Amino acid sequence: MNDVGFYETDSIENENSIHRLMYAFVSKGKTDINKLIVYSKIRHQIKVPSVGFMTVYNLGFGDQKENSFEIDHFARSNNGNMIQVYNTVINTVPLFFELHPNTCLFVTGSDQKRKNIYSGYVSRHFATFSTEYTFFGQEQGAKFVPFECRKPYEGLLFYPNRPIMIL
Amino acid sequence: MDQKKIIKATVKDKEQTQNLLNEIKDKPIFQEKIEAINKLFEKAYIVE
Repeated sequence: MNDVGFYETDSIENENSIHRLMYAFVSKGKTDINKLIVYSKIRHQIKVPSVGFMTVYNLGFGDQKENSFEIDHFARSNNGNMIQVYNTVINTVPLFFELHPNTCLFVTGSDQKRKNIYSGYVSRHFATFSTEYTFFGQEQGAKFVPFECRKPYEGLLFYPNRPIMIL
Repeated sequence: MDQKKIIKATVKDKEQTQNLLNEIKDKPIFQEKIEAINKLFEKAYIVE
């Protein structure tokens, strides 16, 4: 993990009709961009070997469009601070699992380049991440397999190896 | 991660993020993508 830091976030949770938890922050790069991280509950559970059925949340991420309250998850802001932005997203993961223990997270890119970036990011940090989380990679279709480094996956599914406590 | 490395938000940043969260808290976001993922997990399975 790098030490360039992460942005302070605000959060809000909606447990009613839309089950989701959201974090917002301002990306301070070449320009200021409002970013949103959204954890959305998926309708169907998945059976995890040696664990049982687990509720799944999707981890989504996007930019606020200028002069509107719409969120664009295809945006490529090139704001010169990608590492801080990724750190900020990753920093919300243990916060999410503290609020939603016994769930797993799914993340996928909105295009192939992003999918490759996410698989590659986990590969590079797998020695650290795997002490805290168990990862599966989505192959073509609906099949998930134990994560192997340097393999490209359509999406990633992971859950904490033990309960997360934020001190 | 080192908690000391947090990049603190300014008062203006906090106003923007709180405004954004309040405006969209009940609105659909990433709806098409979430629907596609719901369909994926109808059939999803894990192979050991």
